[in-house]
Amino acid sequence: MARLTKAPKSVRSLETFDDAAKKLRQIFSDLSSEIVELKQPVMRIPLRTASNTIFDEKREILTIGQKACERRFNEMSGVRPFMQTCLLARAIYEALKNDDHPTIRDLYYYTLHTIEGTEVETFNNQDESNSIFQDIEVMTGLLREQMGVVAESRGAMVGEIVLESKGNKIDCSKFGIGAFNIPSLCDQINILEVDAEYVLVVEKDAIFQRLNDYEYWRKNRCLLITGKGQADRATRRMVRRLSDEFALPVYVLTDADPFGWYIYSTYRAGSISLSYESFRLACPKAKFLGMSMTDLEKYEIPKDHLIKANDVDIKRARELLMKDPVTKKPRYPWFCNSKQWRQEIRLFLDKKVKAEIEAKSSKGFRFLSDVYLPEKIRNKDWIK
Amino acid sequence: MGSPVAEAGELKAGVAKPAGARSKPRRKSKRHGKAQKAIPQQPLTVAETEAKRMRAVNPAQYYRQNLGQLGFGDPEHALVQTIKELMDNSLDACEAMMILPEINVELIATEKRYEVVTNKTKDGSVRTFPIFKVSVEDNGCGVLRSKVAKCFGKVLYGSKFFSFKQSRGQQGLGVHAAIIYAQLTSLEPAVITTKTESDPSGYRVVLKIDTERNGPVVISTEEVKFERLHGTRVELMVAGDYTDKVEYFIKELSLANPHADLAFTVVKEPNSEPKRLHFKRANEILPPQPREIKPHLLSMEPGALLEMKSNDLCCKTAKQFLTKHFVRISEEKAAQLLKASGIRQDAPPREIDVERLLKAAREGDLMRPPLDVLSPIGEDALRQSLRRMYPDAEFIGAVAREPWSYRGVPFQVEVGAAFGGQSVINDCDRVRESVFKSRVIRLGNKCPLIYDSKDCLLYKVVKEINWRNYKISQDEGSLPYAPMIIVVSLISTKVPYIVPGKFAVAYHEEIREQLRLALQTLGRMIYAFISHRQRQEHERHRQSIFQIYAKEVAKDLSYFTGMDEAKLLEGLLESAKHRKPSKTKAEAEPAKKPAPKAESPPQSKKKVAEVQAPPIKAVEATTSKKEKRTQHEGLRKQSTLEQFFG
Repeated sequence: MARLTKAPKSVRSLETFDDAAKKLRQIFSDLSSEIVELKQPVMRIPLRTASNTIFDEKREILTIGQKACERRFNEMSGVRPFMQTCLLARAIYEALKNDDHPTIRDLYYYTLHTIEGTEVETFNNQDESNSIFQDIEVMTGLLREQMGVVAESRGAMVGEIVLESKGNKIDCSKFGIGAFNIPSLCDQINILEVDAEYVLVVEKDAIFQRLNDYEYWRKNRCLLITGKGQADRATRRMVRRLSDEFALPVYVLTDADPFGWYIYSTYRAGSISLSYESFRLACPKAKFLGMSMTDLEKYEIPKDHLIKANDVDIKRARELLMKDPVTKKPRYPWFCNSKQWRQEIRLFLDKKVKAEIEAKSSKGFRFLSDVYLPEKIRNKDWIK
Repeated sequence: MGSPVAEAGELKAGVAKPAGARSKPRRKSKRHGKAQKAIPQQPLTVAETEAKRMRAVNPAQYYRQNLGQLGFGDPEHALVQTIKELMDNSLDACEAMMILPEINVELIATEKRYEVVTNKTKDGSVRTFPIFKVSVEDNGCGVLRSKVAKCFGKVLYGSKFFSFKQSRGQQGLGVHAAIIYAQLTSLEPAVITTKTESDPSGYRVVLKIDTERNGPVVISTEEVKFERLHGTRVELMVAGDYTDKVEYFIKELSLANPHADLAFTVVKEPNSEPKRLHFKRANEILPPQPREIKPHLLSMEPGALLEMKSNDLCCKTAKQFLTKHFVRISEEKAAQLLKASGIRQDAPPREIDVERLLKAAREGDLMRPPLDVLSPIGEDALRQSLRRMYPDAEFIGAVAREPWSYRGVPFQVEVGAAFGGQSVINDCDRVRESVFKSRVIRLGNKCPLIYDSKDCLLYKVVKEINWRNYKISQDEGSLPYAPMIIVVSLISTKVPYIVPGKFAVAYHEEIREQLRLALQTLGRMIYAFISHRQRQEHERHRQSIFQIYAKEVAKDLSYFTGMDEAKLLEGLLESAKHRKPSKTKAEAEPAKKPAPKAESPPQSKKKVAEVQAPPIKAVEATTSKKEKRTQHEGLRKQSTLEQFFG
C-alpha cells in the first residue's frame, strides 16, 4: 500500500506554560487587590457536583456549569482552605517560573510545613492537598498538565506515527515488540506525521501486546493504543489529540461487561466527578467496537466461555441507564440517549452473562486480529 | 430549737378529756395578783403527764443529760458547737446593741487530756482527746456586773421559749450547754470577763453551773484590766478534737456575717506554732434587727400548745387565749376556730382540746404570718461577702427571694455563688485533673451548718437542680462539677431542723420551692456568665486562627503578585474581623449526597482507584464537618472554660 503520510491539520505550536502562569497570576492578583482595598477576598470555585454538571449536547461532553462555591477568608470554614489554595497556587507558580514539573505529591511535600510560631500544619494529609489542587484546576480552568504538573501515566502507543520531543524524533513504528510510553505531559510532544486510518484503543495490555506482536497496526494501518485498564489522563489526551488534530476515527475494544463499557465511557465523555476535564480529555467521537452483547451470539462464543454476571455487574449496568435522582438528568447521556446502547444494556440485563476478549480464542488465537477486528471495522459494526 | 418540751410532742394521739366532764368550781385565790398555777382535777392526759414530768426536771439537768442532742455528742462536734454558741451569742449581743461586731477567737491546746471510756480504739485502749482552752471575746456592750452570774449560771427557760424571733443560737441558752459540757469534760470552771462602757475596769467572774438546782456557783470575782472599751470574753476548757471543720466554720460564719470582723488563732498541739486567720469586714452595714412576733397557730406542736395553755394566767376565755397569744387571729377567726373544734368561746383556756384546735387551724384557712419580721443577709451584702472571701472569683452572684412562710412560720431564702478563680478552687474538692466538685455552704439564720449535710434539705435541693441547663456538668442527683461555691441561706423565726442538735434542715415544701426558684435564678445568672465567657473564648480562639493563617496567605500572595506583604497582612486581618455566617457549607451540602453514589460503578473495581482521584473526595469542594473539627489541630489549647464544659 502506498504510504499516505498525513500531516497535521494545523501546525500547532507546543503549548507553553506561560499561559498557565499568567492565568494563575491574574487570579491571585485580583484576589490580592481585593484584600489590599479592604474588601472581603472571595475565591469562586465552580462546584464539581452532579447538580452542576451539564451535558453539552452539541459537543457531546460533560461540562461544569455556572454554580460556584465562595471560599472566604473571614469564615471559620473557609479560612483554612483559602490559605491552602494560596499556598498551593504559589507553589505551582514557582514551579512554572523555574521550569519545574512536579507531581502533585511533590507539591504536597513542598507546601507541607508547620506555620511559623504555631503547631498548625498546612495540610493534614495528602488527600487534603489533592482536593485543593482540584479546586485550583477548576478555578483556573487549567488542567494539571497545562500547569506543568505531572501525573501518573500508563498508556502505550505503537503505529506509524512520528513524534518529536525535546528535539528528538520518535518513530513509534520502530519499537519492535515494545511500545511508546505516553508521558503525562503529552501536550509537550509534537505529532509530526501520522500514517493511519484509525486509532484502535484496547482496554487490556495483554491484548495490546498480542496485537502488537502480530503487527496488527502495520497490516491494518492503524495506531494501537492501550490504557492498560482504566485510562489515565495522558492516554485520553493523546486519543483526543489524534482525533482532533488528524481527524482519525477512534475505536475502543474492551471486554464484554459493564466495566468495559465504563472504560469506553471514560474515553468518550469523562465522568461527573471529572467533568471539568472533559473539555480536554474526552473524545466524543470514540466509538465502541466490541465486544458487544450481540457479538457473543453473532460470533458464536460457546456458552461455557461465558461468565455469569455478578451482582456488581448488574448494578453497574443498571446505573448506566439511571437518571440522577436530584437533577433528573441521565448520568450517562451517551448511553441513555442511544437506542443501540439501551438495547445492548438490556440484553446484558436479560442474559446476565459476560465475556472476556480472550474468549474469542476459542476460534483460534488469530481470530481476534485476523477476523473479528477487520470484519467489524469493515462492516462499520460499532456502536456510537 | 432544742426544746425538751418538744419531745413531749410525740404524744399518743386521740387521748381527749372525757366529754362533758367539768372541773370543780375553782376557789378564788386569796393571793391576788400573784401567780397561781391552775390545778386541773380531771385525770391527766398522757400529754399533760409528760409535760409535767418534763417540768420536774430542771433545765440544767436536762441539758446535762442530753448534751448529745444539743450538739456536744462527740469531741469534734462539741468543739465546733462550743465555738458556735459563744460566737452566736457575741454576734446577737453586738447587733442588739447596734454595734459592728469584732470577735476574737482563740483555741489553745493544753497538756491536759480527756478520756472517753466508751470510745475505744481497735486495740482496746481508751481514746483521749486534748483539752482546749476556748476563748471568745467580743466588743459587745458587756454585761452588768450584777447580772453576770445569773446570766451565765442559770439556764433560763419558759417565757423566752415561745418567743418567735429570728436568732442565731437559742437565745443565749446554748452558752449554758457549753459551760456544762466544759465542766463535765475538763472539770474546769468558766471564766467570764466583761466590761461595760461605764465600768472603770473589766470584771472577771469564775463560775460553774450547779445542775442540781440550776444556779451559778461563783468561785471568784475580781477586777481586771480589759483592753476594750466594752465587751465580753468567755473562756472555757473543753475536750475537743480539732479538725479543719473549725476553720471552715469560722470562714463560713464570716461569709454569713459580712459586717463582722472575725479573728481566729489556733494552737493545735500544746506549745506548737499558732495559726492565725483574720476575716475582715466586707461591709459596714449592720443588718436590721429582726422583730419578735407572737407564734402562729399552725406552727405549734401539741405539747407546746399544752404548755402554753397551762402556763397562761391572764386569759379568761378560750377566745381571749387565741387572740392574745397568737399572731393573725382576729376575733372572728378565733370564734370560727373554737366553733370548729367544739369549744365554747367563753370556756376557760384550760378546756381547750389541743388536738382538735390544731386540726381546726389546719383546715381553717388561716392568714400567713407577717413576713417582715426577718433580718436576711441581703443580696448586696452576700455579694460583697463572697467577693471579700473569694477576691479572684470570675463570677459572683446572689439571689434573695421574698419572705414566705411554712406552716405559719415566716422564712426567707437567699442563695449566692462564687465561680472560678484559684481561691474558689482551693475550697472545692478536686475529682480529677482540672475537674472540681462544687462546695455547698449551708447557713441557718446566718450560722453555718457544717455537719449532717446528707440529710439536709438545703443540700438536697442543690443536688436536685439540673445544673446542666446552665452549662455546668453534673451527674444525675449529685453536686455539679464546677469550681464553684454555692451558698444557701435559710432565715426564719424557727429554722426547722430535723432533730434538735442536728445541723440538717427538715423538708418543707414551701422552703424547697423557694430554694429551687432561687437556685434556678442563680443558675441562669451563671449561665449568662459562662455563655459570655465562652463566646469571648471562642472569639479569641477564632481570631488567633485567622491571625495564623493570614500570615501564611500574605506571604504566598505577595510572592505571586509582588505586592507588599505587610499590606496584605493588614487587609486580611481587617477582613477577619468581620464575621460572616458560613454560606459556603449550605451550598455545598445538597451537592454532597447525590454525587458519591454516581461514582459507585467505577469505584468498586480496584483498577479504577489508582488513576482517577477517589471520586467522593473530588466532589467535596469544601472541607467536611469532620475535617473542620480536626483541621485546626494544634490550635486547640485548652482554655479553663473548655476544660470544665467540654
